[in-house]
Formats: sequence, structure tokens, C-alpha cells
Amino acid sequence: MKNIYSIITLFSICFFYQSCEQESIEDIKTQTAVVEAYLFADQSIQNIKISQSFSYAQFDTIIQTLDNLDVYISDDNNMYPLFSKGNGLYENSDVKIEDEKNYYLEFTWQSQSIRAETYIPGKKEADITTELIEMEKIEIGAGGFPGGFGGGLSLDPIDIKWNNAENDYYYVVIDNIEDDPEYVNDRIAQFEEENGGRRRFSFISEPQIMDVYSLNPQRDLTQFGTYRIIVFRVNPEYAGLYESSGSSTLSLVQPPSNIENGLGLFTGVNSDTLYLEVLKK
Amino acid sequence: MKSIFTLLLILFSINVNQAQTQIKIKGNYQNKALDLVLLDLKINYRLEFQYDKELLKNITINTSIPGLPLKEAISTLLQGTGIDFELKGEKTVALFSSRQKNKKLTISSFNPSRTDITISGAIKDQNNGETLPFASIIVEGTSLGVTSNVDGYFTIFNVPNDTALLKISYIGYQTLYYRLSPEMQLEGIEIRLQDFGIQLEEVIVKAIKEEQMLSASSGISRIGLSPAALNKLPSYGERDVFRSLQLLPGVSGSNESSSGLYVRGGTPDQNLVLFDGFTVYHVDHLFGFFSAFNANAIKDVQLYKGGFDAKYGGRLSSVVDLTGKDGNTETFNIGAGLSPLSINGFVETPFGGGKGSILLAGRRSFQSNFYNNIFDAYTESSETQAEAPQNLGRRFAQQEVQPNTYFYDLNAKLSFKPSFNDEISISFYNGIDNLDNSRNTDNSAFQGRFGGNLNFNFLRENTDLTEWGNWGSSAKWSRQWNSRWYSNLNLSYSNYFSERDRSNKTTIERADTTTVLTFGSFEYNDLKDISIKLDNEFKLNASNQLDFGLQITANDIAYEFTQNDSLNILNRQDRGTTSSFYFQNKHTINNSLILKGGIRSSLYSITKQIYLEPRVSFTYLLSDQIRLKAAWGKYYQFATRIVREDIQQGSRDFWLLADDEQVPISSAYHHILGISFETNTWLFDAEAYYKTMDGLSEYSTRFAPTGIGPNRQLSYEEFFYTGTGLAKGLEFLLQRKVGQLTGWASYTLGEVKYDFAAFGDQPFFANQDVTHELKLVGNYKLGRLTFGATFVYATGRPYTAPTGYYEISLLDGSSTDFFEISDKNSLRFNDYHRLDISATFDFKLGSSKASTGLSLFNIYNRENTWYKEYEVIEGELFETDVSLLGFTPSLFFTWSLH
Repeated sequence: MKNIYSIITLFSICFFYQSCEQESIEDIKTQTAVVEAYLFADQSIQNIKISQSFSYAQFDTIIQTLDNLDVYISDDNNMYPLFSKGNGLYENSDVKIEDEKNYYLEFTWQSQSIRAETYIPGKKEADITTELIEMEKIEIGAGGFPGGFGGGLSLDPIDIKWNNAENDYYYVVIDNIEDDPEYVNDRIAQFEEENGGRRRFSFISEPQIMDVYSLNPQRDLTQFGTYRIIVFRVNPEYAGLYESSGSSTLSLVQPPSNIENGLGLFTGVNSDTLYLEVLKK
Repeated sequence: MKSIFTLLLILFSINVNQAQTQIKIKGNYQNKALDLVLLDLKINYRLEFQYDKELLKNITINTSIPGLPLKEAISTLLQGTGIDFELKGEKTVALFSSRQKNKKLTISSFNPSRTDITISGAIKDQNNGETLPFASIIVEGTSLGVTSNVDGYFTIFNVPNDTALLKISYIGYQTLYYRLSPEMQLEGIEIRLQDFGIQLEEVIVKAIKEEQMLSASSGISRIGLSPAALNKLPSYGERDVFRSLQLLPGVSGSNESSSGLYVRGGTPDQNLVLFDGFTVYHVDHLFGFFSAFNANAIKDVQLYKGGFDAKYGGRLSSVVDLTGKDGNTETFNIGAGLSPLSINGFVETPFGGGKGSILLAGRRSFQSNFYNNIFDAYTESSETQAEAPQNLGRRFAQQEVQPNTYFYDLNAKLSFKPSFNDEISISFYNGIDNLDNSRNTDNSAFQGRFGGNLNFNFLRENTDLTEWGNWGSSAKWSRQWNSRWYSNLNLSYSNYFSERDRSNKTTIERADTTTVLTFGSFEYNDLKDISIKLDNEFKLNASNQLDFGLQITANDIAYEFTQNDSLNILNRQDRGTTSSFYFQNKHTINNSLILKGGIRSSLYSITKQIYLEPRVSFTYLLSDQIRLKAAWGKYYQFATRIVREDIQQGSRDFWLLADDEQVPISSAYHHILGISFETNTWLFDAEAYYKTMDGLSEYSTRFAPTGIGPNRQLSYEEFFYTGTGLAKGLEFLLQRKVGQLTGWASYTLGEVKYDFAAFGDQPFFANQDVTHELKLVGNYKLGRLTFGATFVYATGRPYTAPTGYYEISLLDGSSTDFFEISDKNSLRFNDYHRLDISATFDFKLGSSKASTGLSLFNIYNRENTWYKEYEVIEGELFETDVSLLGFTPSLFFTWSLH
């Protein structure tokens, strides 16, 4: 039995030996530069934002912007300084971004060189199958509505098309730009009022490799008036923002970023804008 | 005080040879009270016994006497009881207490006719005729001892003479003493052991009754487990072999969400899981809460935690070798069980005059509240509601969907012994999990809200189906050619498949057109393994046993991940063959030093290279009680399991074959040192391990931008991060083997670190790293009642957390928050601990056996962290701890005819 007690003592010694310290999130203070920079083709350099990531070890909840840094944007031939406007914003109104060119961003912060590069995609003109459509107004008390949710007889889809032989990513934003748009279907207006209030029609697709976007008038066009349709041609680094990086410890991964030694995005964008009128029949 | 003795499961025969002047006694006494045995001898042989009644109290006998003279027979009968005897005249025996027990009794009074003999035979179950693999056979009074092989066969060389006494023990069975006699055949000896079964009457434990649930003293880093004896441990609704293995030292016991084994810092895919010879690639039921094996269909479990023999290959970490039950060769038997989770049943029957048997065992889950609790814990995040058309939010109808889900498994085995030396068996296994979250939406869901006069019909079929499972079968022929040579030929087929279909199909029918729109994702993994194995054991002489054989495994693995009907994101097709040959010699010196040296050589078709795995081990018996042991070996792994990130979506893993370019062939070196100290009552075992691993890979897939300029693209890419690993630790086991209270305490001090260049300059703790792990397991018998308790304490596992966040404005003017992530696994969850208890009551229903009980899981309702979820709302980080299972009581009932 003496042996057994020695063994139990050995167990106990090992068990109370502690080797690991546990850290909590509050103990880990990180400071990383975050870039948010869109270079739009045929436009000057505006509102490039540089800030510091918010660390949970911080006491306050204010995002720290980084001002008065020496930030440069260059193409393959020239280098252009950016000017600090405050609030972490930088610009250079004299530079016009040209499409189908590479651009580079560079600055130094906390002795680290932060760099990124991107490409400005070429412009692609988009076509729409019709710029004008007439729809029937559906009022409450008019009895069952004769055609689907949006009312009216069956209408052909409206296609927005462009050439995408390169298999690039496109992204469509559709807005009703009227100040006070009238609803096609009063039932939907009423439903919205009862559920959080009326809202302006606004639709955004996710960046996808596509060459056509189809609008189903009855489903999508819920208001009369002018719709602005912007077809963005975007880069892969932008499309990557829409991929989930997880929200639990089972799946957390570092979000995608094309900033070397930093976080965020430096990307070129091109776009084409179209309009669609929805009239009352 | 009076004790009531009753016979249990009697197989008893008596022969009296009146023609001879000397009485020859023959009988098989199993679990029978000594005073009843003496009464029996008195009646049948007209013997007289003189003894003090107190002396016989509480002693039961487990002995087989193969026709021995009186003195010899009584000596065998009293072996291990602490009682000595003296013959007074021809038919009178005086019994008295012996302080120097056993010493005299191991010497036979009968004159041996043969010396330095070789004996061989097979060990079987007394009741159902099942052969017993890995049973221990020791020649009393010598240091000779062997272990039966997988088919229960054994051979012992250099047995001193033909009157030697054998001690046969096997976990879950009563130890038996078997006396050889000069007249018996020395080959083909059949020895039958009695299992503990259920104690229907007040039978008190005899000194030699080793009621173990596990046997850890049989070899280095090797533990045998008795599925039958595990009945009395607490469980989470269902008795589970893999959950029980997690209570052993060196095997992580804090992973409630995985029935896979984390052995000595390894991951579940680094375990070779064999069932009747075929490889099982996936062992999870119900997201990993239960293993895929029905305990009713398993006869024996051997776990090799490292340093395993050259016979096994293809995995870095460990081997779980499961032997299925053959079925009853004695009588028809049927049984059933009910738990809050499933219903199970088995039927077994002999055929061919006891030469063959058939076993069928199956279980199927049902959707009780118990089942749904587990299911909901996993699927909370994917709770479904019928989604409304895109831009309209949830303004339209909403449907609550009750998922339809189940699992089942089925085992079938046919065994046939055309002769004592041949055994043929065909084993079949199928187990499937099916989780169906699908729903259909049509016009009717919208009736009453917007009127019913739609001029079109639509039907949206939303499929959300997850199904995974295994099919496996093997055909085996084993033959004991002679007392030296045994062969085992095994042909096997194993298939693991996993399918996930999350798609929407919308059909709109108008007067003149029908439009079908499909989107969603589809994932499919199908693995096939066809193997042929030939294992041989050749006993060259008393000192050398050669093990040699070959194995050819052909793998065909398909993995497909498709989005939106057409976009083929991943489409892998791996085919490869591994041809291996192994050779090992077990050399015994002076019956105290056992040296094993072996090599395994594998030709892997994908790289067309030969991989050599040398392995050595030794065991040195310092004394009868103390043994020292050590092992070293190299191990390769060619097939790797990839675990995808979205674990909440069910089984999201797939296997692939290494190509040594993108996916490295992984390898490991095991270094093990150990010591064990064993008495009749206690076993203390300590081992230290040091394991280096190379060619480890972590995998992720995501859309990633590549290229620059006009050629830039965002592609769905596979990332294989490769690196090395180091696992080291100390394991202690203290086991009480006999008595009313049995069980063990195990403690592991461990560390496993990975070094991956992609995750930083410094090594980091692997996901499965646990510093301290203490496990206490106990069974306490009180008549027909057995109480069980298990306690697990473990240091929290490491995790990666967000340390901050940042915001990016998108092109439409909205903004999105992104997490900034800590260094990999730099934080730890709170410590894990829980206590489970159970009570089991055994009783008789007519002549059949039954048992019922209550199991209380996590009795003090400890909230152990499973994972943490994070959300940023208005600049504030919200952290939610998602806990593993809380306090859960469950009732169970089992019944069997015999």
C-alpha cells in the first residue's frame, strides 16, 4: 500500500503544477493601419481614408484616424503625393486616374512600410432592354390583384447587359431617385408602413462574374419614377470583402485584404450609369 | 450469518470411471459456490470433506477439471482460494486455511508423462462460444505467458510438463485456472471463460475475480477495453465505446462535440480505426456526439496509443482495432434496448451444429426531446424560415420548419468454423446520418395575405439535406496451420460518403411558359477503399515469433463542390494505391526481456516512392510486479482528412490523398518510455511520450484575389498551409482491478505545438492542446445494483479571437465591420470539468436477463465552453459563450433472452 500512496502523491504534484497563463481579449492590444481607398476611373483621388484598427484593449470606443502621413500614389511612371484633409482623409485633386493602368499606394507608419497595388478596370458600357415601362397602379380595396405581387399583367423582364468576355466581377446598384416615390401597389406601401415605415427602393447585388442582370418588374419595381442603375466593374479584392470571415471561434479567419502590413482595401473601380423610368399606366 | 448460493449459467458434467481403482474427477465449475462444489463431489464421488464452515464462506469457484486424480483435482479446485488441503485416507479430504497460499498448489501431485511440451488451443466464451481475442494465458509458477491472437488461438512453447497449471484471464471475464493432464491432447485445447454477466443472486466476489473494464498491462501504450463491462459507466443516453476510450490517459476527454479520438496530441484523422479488418473513415453520429459503432455488436476493443507494431500502418497517431461479435454458436439469443436517443436490438443464432453463427444488430435514433436538444444545439444558427423574395425582406409569409433527422446503423456477421483450425467470417456494416431541413413553399403559403387570384403558380423547393455515412464489409479466412503458424486473409471494402445539398429551385408556371431558377451549393465527397491483407504469425521457437504480411489498399476519393448549378468550385478526384509489406520479430530472452523489431515498407503509387517505417520496442520484467517498457518508431500517413470551417452545417469534412507537392505526406516519430507496477488489486502505469510530426497540413478554401492587371481574378482556391508539430506528455494510470469498488484515475500532462510559417514565426498551441487532464472512473457494486461515476477535468483548449475591428465603406454607401484577429490560438477557454453518475439495476424477467438504470450527465450543470461567437454592434464587441451540454438525465433499459 505504501507504493500506492507514493503514486497518489505523484499524481497530486503533477496536477497542481500550472504552466499556462490565460490571456483575455482585453490583454491583447493591436495597432494596425487600415486603408479604405477607391480609385475611380476618370476621376481625381478623393477621400482615401487611413485609420487605425479599433482594439478591444482600448478604453474608449473612438476610431483613431491617422493624419499628416506622407502618403504616395504612383503609377508605373509617376509618383503623386496625397494631401491630408483631416479625419484620416487624403486627396490629390490634380491627378486623374486612368483606366487599364496599375496604381500603387505607399506610406510609412510606426516604422512599417505599408503598401498596396491595384488595377483600374476598363470601362464597359451597359445596355438596358427598355428605358421606360408602364405599370398599373394597384389600390387597396380593388379586390384581388390580377397579376402577381407588383400588379399589372405579366411583364417581360428588363435586362441590363454588358460584355464580360474577361470574366470580371460586376456589381449592380439600383436606386429610385425620386424625392417621394409613389408605390405601385398600395398594399405593399401599407405593409411597409406597418413594418418599419416606407423606404426608398434600393437594390444592391453582390459582386459576381456576370454579364446580365434581370429585373422582374412585378417583383422588383415597387415604386413609380426614375431609377438610377449603376453597373460597377470591380476588382477581385473588392469582391473578396463579401466573403464571410466567420464570427465564431470555430471559424474565425483573418479577413481578406490587399494591404501589405495593414488591413483594408486599395482598389480600382470603373462604372457605367443607366436610367429607367417607371410610369403609371 | 447465512449466505445464499445459487448456480449461475450451469454447464456441468461429471464422469465417474468405476473401472479404475483411482478416482478420476472431471467437471466444469463456473461461478459456483465452493460449498456447492464440495456437495456435488460428495454426491457423485462419495467423498468426505472436513472443514470449518466459516472457511468456505464467500468463495466461488471458476475451474475446469479435465479428468484428474483426486489430489490433483482438489488442488486445481482450490487454486487461488487461500485454502489448503490434506488427504486423509482414500476418500476423505481435510480443508484448512493456508497462509502460504498457492506455493504448494502450483506443484502437481500427479506424475507428468511429458516434459518441455508445446501446447496450443483456443479461448472461448463459456456461454455463447465466441472466441476471445487477446486473452492472457500464463503458466503458473513460471514466467511463461502468451496472449491469444485475434481469433482466440494461442500457443505456448516450453511448458515444463503436462501437469502444469494455466491461469487464463480476459477483461470482463472471470479468471480461470486450467490444469493440464498427462492424458490430454496438447493441441486443440479449448478453454472456456465465464463472463461476469449479471449477478442475479448474492454472489460474492472471489479473490481471483478480476472485474476490469480495461486492461492496460498487456503492452506498451496499449489498452484493451471490454464493451460489456462498460455498461455500468454513466453515459450520455447511449453506451458508447469511443466515449469510453476518451476516459483513458493520453486520450482527450473534453471534446464532447467529437467522438473522434485525440490521442497524445494527434487528431482524429490520425487514428486508424479498424472494424473486423476494414478501415472506417468517419466515426461520428449526430455531429459527433455519438460514435458510429453499436456497442452490442462489438466483442473487443484494442487501443494502441503509439509505438504500434509494423502490422499497422497509414496513420500517424494511434490504432483502434475493433473486433465484432461473431454471434452465439451455442443457442439462439435475442435482445433489445431502449434509451432516450435510440432503440436497438440484436439477434444471434447458431447453425451447422454449432460450427457457425449469425449475428444481426441494429439501432435507430428517434426524435425525442433528448435527441432534439443535441440537434438544436448544432443547428441553432441554421434555423430556417422561408425566405421571401430578395428585396422585400421578410414581409411575406414565414414558415417554421421542423427538421427531419435520424441516424441508424446495422451490423451483420456470419461466422463459420469448418474445423477447429479454420474460421471464415463475413462482416457487414452500414451506418447513416440524415439531416433534412428542406421545405417547400408554394402559392398556398401566401394565401390570405395578398389574395388568391394569382395568374401563375410557383413552387419553391428549398433543399437543405445533409447525409453522411459508412458502408463497410470484410471477408476473412483465418487458419491455424499448426501450433506454430497462423494466417489471416482479409478482403475488405469501405465507403465513406458525405453529401450536402443546399439549393433552391423555383418553378414558375404561367399560362404559356415554365421558368425554373436554381441556385445554392452542392457538396459531395465519396471515398472508397478496397483492401487485401494477409497477416501471418510464425512461432519460430520459444524465443522468436515472426509476424509478416502484406497489405494493398486502393483508394478512390471524389470531392465536388458546386455552386449555382454550374460553377464548379472544387472538383478533386484522387486515386492511389498503397502496397505495403511488413516484417517483425518478437524475441524473448529469459522470459523477462521481450524485444520487438520490425519494419514496414510501403510503395505509394502517387509519388511512386517507397516509404520505410522501422519500429522497435522492448519490455523488461524487472520483477513479477514491475515492468519497464520503451518504444520507438516511424509512421507515415498518405490520406488526410480535411475539416472545413463551417462546423455548424453538419459534417463538413473530406478526405484526400497526399501528393507530396501541394499536400505533403505526413510522418511522425514516436518515442515512448514507461513503467508499470501491478499487484493483484492495483495497477499503476506511467508513460512518457515525445512525438515529432512533419508534413502536417491545415487547409482552408476561400475566394482570393490572384494576379494583377488585366489578368487579375478572384478564384476559389485551396490553401494548404504546411508545417511541423511536436507533442509531448506524461501519462499516469492508477487502476483498482478487483473488489466492490473498481475503476481508475488517470492524469495526463501534455503539450502539442505546431509550427506553420503561414501563421507566424513562433510555434503555436494546436487546437487540441490540453495541458492537464484528470479523469476519475469508478464502479461500485452493491448486490444487483451498480453505481458508476466519471469525473473529467481538463485545461481549456486554445482558440483564436478577434482583438479588434475596423470598418470599410462599400460602393453603395453602406459600411461593413471586419474583425482583426489575434495570433493563432493565443487564448484559452475556461477549464473544462464535469461529473456524471449512474445507477444500474440487474434483474431477471422469467429466465431472461434485463437491466435498467438512470444516468445523470454533467450533474452540477457545468457550463463548459464549446465555442465563442462575436458580433460588433455600434462599436461594441459582444461575445457569446456557447456551452456544451448541460445537466441531462436519461433512463435506459436492456433485455436479452440469455
